[in-house]
Amino acid sequence: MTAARQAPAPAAAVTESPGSGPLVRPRVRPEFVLPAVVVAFFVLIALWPELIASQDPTLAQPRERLLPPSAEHLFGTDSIGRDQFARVAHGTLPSLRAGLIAVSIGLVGGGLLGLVSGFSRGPLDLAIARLCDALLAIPGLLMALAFLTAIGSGVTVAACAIGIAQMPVFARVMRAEVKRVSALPYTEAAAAAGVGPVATAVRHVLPNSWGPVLALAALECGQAILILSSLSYLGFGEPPPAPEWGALIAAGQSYLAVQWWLAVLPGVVLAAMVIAITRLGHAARRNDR
Amino acid sequence: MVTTTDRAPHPARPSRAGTGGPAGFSMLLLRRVGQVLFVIWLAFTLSFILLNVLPGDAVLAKLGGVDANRQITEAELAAIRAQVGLDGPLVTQYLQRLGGVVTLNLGHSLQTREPVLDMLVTALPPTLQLAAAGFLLAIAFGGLLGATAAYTRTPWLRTALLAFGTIGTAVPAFWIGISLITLFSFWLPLFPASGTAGPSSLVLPAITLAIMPASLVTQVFYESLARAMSEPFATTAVMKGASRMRVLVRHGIRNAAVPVVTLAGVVAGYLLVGSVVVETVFSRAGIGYLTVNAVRTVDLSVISGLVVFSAVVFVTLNLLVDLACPFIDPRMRAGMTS
Repeated sequence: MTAARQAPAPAAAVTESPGSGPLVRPRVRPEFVLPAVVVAFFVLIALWPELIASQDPTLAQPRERLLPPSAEHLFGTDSIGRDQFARVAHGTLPSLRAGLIAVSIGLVGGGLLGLVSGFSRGPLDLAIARLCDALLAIPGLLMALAFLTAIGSGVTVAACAIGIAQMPVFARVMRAEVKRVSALPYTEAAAAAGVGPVATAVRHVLPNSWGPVLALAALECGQAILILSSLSYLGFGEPPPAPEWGALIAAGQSYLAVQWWLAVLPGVVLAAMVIAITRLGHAARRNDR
Repeated sequence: MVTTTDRAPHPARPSRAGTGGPAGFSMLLLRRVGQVLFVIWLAFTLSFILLNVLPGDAVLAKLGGVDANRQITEAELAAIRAQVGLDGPLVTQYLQRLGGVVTLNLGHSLQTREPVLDMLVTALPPTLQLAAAGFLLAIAFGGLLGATAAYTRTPWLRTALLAFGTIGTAVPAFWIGISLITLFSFWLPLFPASGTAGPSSLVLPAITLAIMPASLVTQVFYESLARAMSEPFATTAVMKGASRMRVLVRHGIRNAAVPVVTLAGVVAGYLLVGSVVVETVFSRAGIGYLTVNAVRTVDLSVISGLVVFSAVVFVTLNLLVDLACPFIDPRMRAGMTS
């Protein structure tokens, strides 16, 4: 650790790694723009649902129950007369937040595992690889259900469990990237110039290896949101009055025969968000190559 | 996924079939089985930490049916602990559980007192039916779409087919199920909306379950076909006058098989978990119903049995896939012994 601090500063200037300079700007492609706009829109709605939904998502108006979609109620009204559109809009934040919690845990935990694994050889690398195998053998949904059983209900608990289940995926990609970047000339040059291992990792390897990891983060965020919505559908989300997408769809299922829009429309919104996030990940991955 | 990435994918020297020899193969088998057992043990240990160490007093109170709002006494807690087998030092508990798993005794349900293994065995057949149907659909449908996307020279058709690859992984299975029920049970009364009775009740759940893996198969199959079709041997075949279809069928598919088989292991594992959601949508009996019910009733021993079961299924499937790959692609046989 001390070696890192004593590392001579000028060395970095000579062997500038591509990611650390401001000169290299990622090229923005058109395929990047549309999903980015959609995701930005969802983030906006998550933060200010009132922008598009002026009605109260929890206000029940029994006289207006089960209305079909109209100008006043874009997605119709539910079984006790709440505006479904407002409920969907207000459900954006919990979905997005839980997805981000999950993916942050996966990204940080898995990233660290991969980083350690990529820099070390022998038993530690092997142990982390086996740990990843074991974690991969327990799928995210089951992991979340096990956590919910053992620790108690709550979206945050489920999100943490999904994050843990996603760690091995991030660890694998991070490890492969670290191995790749470690073999590149500028990393070798940094090491030869006397930059300590930790400084090399932080200044040269990390900035150049997290592109694919971040692209993966977008894909995994979409998957986390899907798993969380499944949990909410199964009845393991927030308690009832909260407008969660999965729970909205589950509630609408009782009225499928006639009021099909109650279950189908929130699903379309959910799918639109996950598709946008996933496309963003794919675009980032391609941009990276 | 302990898959093909572990070994050198294309050994430089062209190998004759079976260079590994029988001794090499059994060594590989032994090492891989050892690895699999180790991973299962690790998964078991993780589930033990989660389900036997972490559960707090609140969970126990719920288990014992005690009103969580009032102060629960230490004596009551101890009684519940003893009742559900969470008493005694952790090491003893751990060794007991581990011994149980080794001898195929997964403990007893905390709710019904039934052996967990019996519950699993009873719940398995309907889920296996569903998973098998979903698997076949996914491979057939995904394979067809992927091959068509690789074969066609019409850009918009390819784009549309590949868009399915993205959309299929982004749409939640329960929503697909609900939409299918709306379309094919209510609007067009073709299939029952729920239940486990008869083959017609399997149609909608199997389609629901198959969409996600089918889109994965589409993506992977298309990518590996496209890669195979741009390789020199494909060009040679074209030069020799083979039609595009012939090159695709005779040369492309054989070369694109390994990634799809590797994916099949992952997909089969997904099908067992996906059944949790699909069985709930269609009110079917099976592993999924067992799982949801166990979570609702805080049945720790059933959940821990399910985690171990899932790990065994997943790891075994991947082992089989790993062992199958050299038989599909002779190029991998040389890498086996190294």
